[in-house]
Amino acid sequence: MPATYTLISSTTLSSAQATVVFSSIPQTYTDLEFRLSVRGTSSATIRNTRFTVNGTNTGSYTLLQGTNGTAVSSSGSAQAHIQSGITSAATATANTFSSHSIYIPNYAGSTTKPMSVYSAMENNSATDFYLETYASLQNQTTAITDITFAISANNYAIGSSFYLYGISNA
Amino acid sequence: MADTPTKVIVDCSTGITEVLPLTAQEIADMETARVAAEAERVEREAEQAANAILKAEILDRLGITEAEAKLLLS
Repeated sequence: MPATYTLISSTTLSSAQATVVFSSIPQTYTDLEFRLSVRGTSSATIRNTRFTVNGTNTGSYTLLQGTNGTAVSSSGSAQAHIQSGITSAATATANTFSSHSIYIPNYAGSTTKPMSVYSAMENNSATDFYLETYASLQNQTTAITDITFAISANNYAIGSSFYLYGISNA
Repeated sequence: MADTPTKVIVDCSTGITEVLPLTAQEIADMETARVAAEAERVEREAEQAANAILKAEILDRLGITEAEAKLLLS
C-alpha cells in the first residue's frame, strides 16, 4: 500500500449480520476506499451488496457486468441504493468470498459524490464466474460521515470482512 | 419465531464496534430494498434473455455464426 493509505477502521464478522455500519468517518482525508471480502448466508449462488450514504439513497449508476463470459451493460437513475455488486452466497463454492473495492473521491466536499465500484466472485468451480463494475453518482452534497452496507437477502456470513482506508494527497 | 437480525456498528472516531438489533423500521426498509433488488435482478435477466434471442435471430438472418460476427467486429 502507498504511504497515503491509512486504515481508519475494519471489522471481521464473528457472527452473521444483516448490515454493517461505519459511523463517524473522519473528515481529514481526501478520498476513501473500502475493501470488502463478503459472503452471504442465503440459499443462492450470488446475492448483491448495496450501501447507503448518510442514511439516504438517491443516486444513479452505469454498470458493466460479466457473467460466465458474457458481458452486458445497463444503467439506472433514482436508485433506492448504491450497488457494491456481486456477493457469493450459500450455494457458491464453499468457503469462498467475493472481493469488492469502492473508491470515493472528495468524500468530505460539498459537491455530489461520484464513486467507482469493482466486485468479483471468487470461484473454484468451472462455471458461475461473475464480476461487476459500477460508475455511480450519489446525489447528496453533504460530507460523507456514515456508510451502511447491506446484502440483498438474509445475512453476511461469518468471516466477511470490511476495511475502510483514508487516502491523503490523492 | 426467527431471531431479530442484527447490525455491526463500527465507530470510526473511537474504534469501538458494537452489535445491535435492527429496529422495526430498519427491518422494513431492508425488506423494501430486498424486493426492489429482486425486481431489478429479474428485469435485468429478462432484458439479457431478450437480447440473446434477438442476437440469435440476427445471426440467423445474416447466416453467420457468433464467432464470425465477433471476427467481423474485431
